[in-house]
Amino acid sequence: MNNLPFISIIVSMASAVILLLLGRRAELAQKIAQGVLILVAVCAAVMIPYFLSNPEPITYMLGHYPSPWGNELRFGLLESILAFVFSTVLLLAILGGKKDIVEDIQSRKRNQYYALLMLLLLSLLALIYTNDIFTAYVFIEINTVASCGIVMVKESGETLRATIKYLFMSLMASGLFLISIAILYSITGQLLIPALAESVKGLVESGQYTWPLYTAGALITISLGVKSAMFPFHTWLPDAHGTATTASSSILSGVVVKGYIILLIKIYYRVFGIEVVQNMGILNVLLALGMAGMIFGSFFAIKETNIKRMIAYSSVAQIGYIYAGIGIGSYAGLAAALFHMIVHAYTKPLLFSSAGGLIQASNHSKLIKHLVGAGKRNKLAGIGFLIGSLSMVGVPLFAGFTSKLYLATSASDKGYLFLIALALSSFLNALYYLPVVLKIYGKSEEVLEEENEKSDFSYTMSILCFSIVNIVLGIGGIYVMHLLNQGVQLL
Amino acid sequence: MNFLNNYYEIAAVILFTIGLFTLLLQRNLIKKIIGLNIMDTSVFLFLAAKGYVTGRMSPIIRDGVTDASQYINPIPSGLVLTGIVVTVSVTAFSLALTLRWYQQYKTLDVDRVVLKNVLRGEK
Repeated sequence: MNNLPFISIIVSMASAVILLLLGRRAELAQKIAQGVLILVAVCAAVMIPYFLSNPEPITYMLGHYPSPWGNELRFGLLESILAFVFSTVLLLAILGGKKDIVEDIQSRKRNQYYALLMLLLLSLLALIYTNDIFTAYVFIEINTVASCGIVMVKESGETLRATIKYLFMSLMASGLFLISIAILYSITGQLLIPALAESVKGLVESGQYTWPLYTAGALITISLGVKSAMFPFHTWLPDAHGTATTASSSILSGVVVKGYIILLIKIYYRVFGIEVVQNMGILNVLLALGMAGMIFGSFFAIKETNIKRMIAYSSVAQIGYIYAGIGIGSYAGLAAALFHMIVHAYTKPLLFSSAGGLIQASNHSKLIKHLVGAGKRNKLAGIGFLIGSLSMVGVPLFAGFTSKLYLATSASDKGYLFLIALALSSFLNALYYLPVVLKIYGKSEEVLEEENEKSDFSYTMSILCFSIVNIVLGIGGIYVMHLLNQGVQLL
Repeated sequence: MNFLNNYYEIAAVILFTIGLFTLLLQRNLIKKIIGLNIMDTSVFLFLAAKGYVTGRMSPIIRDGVTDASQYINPIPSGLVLTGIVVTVSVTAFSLALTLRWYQQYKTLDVDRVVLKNVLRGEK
């Protein structure tokens, strides 16, 4: 049990190297990547029941030096749930975007694409499990390079522009994260999270170094906010997520931005302590920015004529929900935010995969006006898009409704402003998702040949699994919430 | 105020700001990458200054002296090394992308390309 996270990290690292050596054998590369993802998911799934019976989180020493000198992994219930969610979403996203991968990426580069995905998995797992803040910095950089790589791999002018924009925003954010670690180190002398937390507690109690501490907190929030597309820093997201190949879009919006939010939550709750963050005023800023993101993200999405950019702008709004949930500052709010994160991780890839199918069925046009009748030409993609839209709008029985319900109940003591923003944002969501749903089932004037129903097994699997998870989370959300509530108490 | 005693830190923060704004505001990709390097190097200066203790030796055992009080703090030096590796790799990655950009557009100016595409009506 103690070794499972380390094994999953080392296996994904080793597989990235092996996949690079495979050359043109893309089919084999894909099989290996899927095998690794299944292994990681199983490792995480095995840990969930274990931590339910013995809830105490495990600290795993890397190397021979004990805390506070050595490097550590730390994992409990929450970490195993998140690792399970991330690896399954990655797996299903690869399956759902397989056809587009073959079309968009040159055959000699396909194995490198899977290698990049393995590096992405490695960095996400490390961000979830690590107990050392400098290790987190190193893996943030690996994550940045890998995620820019999976955008760039579809070689066209628009992905090049999107990648450059994404890269420079991310590098600026990494620089801010590095200097905030340096400031934290200079006032505490620690890098390991528990030791750091103790020092920070001492500093807060004695009232020393208040300004450096506040500066570090603010800079960390800004840097991880840029990387996870918090509202005013979201400008790179629609380009990067809207132009990449289908699987990359699913992965970037489904898991990559979430990895940074998890790290931010870890830093808030385990390094600073939530009361200190509250006193800094950061939580109120997060709440305000989250609400602004919820509304403005939806407004931008309404104006879009390109379906992938519309779905990408919808991510800005959904990330706003997550940040608002964190900004509530209670454990209930945090658990609701994490639940929304999981819901979004399973819904957005569903939407991107279905949109990929719809686009293929409409002469590869991404414009919404060209998608008329696409839901009839590719029935599975149409159903997937319908379920995803209903979930994002927040129709009862679907996952999005349950998570919004928990966000609303956890925020009830924070006044009506949040509830109004939540209602307005849901209304705006309906305003841009439902017209698209109506359009894809509308009557097409020009006759396009029917998508040949020679069913693509992996695509079917992906859409079916995502849809089922959406409905299961919608109906049985209370059990997941129960697990998350237990998990956040042990942060 | 002991501002004047902390001149390493002050220099590091000024350099960091210069680097950050070069990265954000320059339109030329190469200049942006130079800004990134200035920014990261300023953090290394900051860390190295934090680890140095006046009058002590570098943390490599010399002449059989094992007393820790004779050496400077080795951890910031380790962090600087790791940071340099990371910076070099992201710089290489950015330069590769810049090369691709130049091959495609025959210019290093970001704004001009974006503007041209907006005028052409592309998103």
